[in-house]
Amino acid sequence: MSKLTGDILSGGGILLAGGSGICTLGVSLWMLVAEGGGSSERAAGLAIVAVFGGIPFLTGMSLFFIGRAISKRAQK
Amino acid sequence: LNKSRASDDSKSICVNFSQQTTAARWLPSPKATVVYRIRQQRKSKLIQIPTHPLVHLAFDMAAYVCAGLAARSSRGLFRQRIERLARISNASYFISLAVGALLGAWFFGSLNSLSWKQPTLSHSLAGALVGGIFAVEIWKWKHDITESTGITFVIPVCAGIVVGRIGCLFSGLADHTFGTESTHPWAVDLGDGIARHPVQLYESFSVLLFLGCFLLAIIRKNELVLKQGFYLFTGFYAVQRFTWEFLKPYPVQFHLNVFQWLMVLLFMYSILFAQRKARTR
Repeated sequence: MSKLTGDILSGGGILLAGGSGICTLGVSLWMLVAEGGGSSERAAGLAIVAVFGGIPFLTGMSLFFIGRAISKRAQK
Repeated sequence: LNKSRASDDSKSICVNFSQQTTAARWLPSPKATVVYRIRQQRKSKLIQIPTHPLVHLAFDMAAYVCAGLAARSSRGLFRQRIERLARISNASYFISLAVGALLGAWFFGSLNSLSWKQPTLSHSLAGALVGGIFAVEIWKWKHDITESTGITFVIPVCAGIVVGRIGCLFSGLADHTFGTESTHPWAVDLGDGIARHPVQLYESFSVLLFLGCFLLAIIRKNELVLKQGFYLFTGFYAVQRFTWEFLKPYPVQFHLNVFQWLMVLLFMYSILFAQRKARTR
């Protein structure tokens, strides 16, 4: 059963990273481009993009690797 | 006043203005004042929704957490099905499901949004559902599995939709999931002062209603729902989404928009596969 849990986590991780993560990265970048501003404002904007887009992407990727690890351990 | 009458009045006001002298143009006509007051009254009665595009992220996360919790808490209801799924599936099943859902989401979402005045890439829940189902059916065909494996996903998917759609509402106009103009008392203002159908809530509530009925049927061990539960869900989702799409300002091809055509396909899938399952019983 823990193999199934690991597989589900892997699938969920791909969905989270590829859906919410990439989408939020896109939306944040779009907001940054639309608002414009100077170089310092852009740098701050990029940090916000990294935080808001990066969190779901990294969470998704983490879930994927954790799931793979659980699945492999269960197989052994 | 309804919308058409108001727009007619506006046109007549413009004509009146053009006929007036230059000095008189600075004073609004009594008719224009009445129209302005009615619009302001309607605007003040609207349900104002505070929105921000990044709210979607919080609700996305909440949707995933709720789906996970729903899966965990409902596993007792489908113990045998889950054990069976664990025996017949492997990692490739879930990876196919996730990749299919992602491809479907981005492909069908973008197919719709690339035909807007300002073309953009996007992803959609309907596309994810169809893409995921398509990928799993191919996986099952390759692994020579004919039984339905979807019923265990119904409760988590429903929970995810119910929460996720609320996020779409609070994301406002930037999310492009808003409804058309409405004169109903429950119409919402997403920041542009226009009364709109809260279509996101329509979908959220209808799926919540289905979830309640589905849970009740499962607890009562309804045979039809236990055997055809997944196809009942996909059929229901297709019908309700097809209906709500009439309240969205998306471009149409051959009288229906991209998602409505997709829901026609999903509904046909539900009927065909439910019949196939009934025959192989």
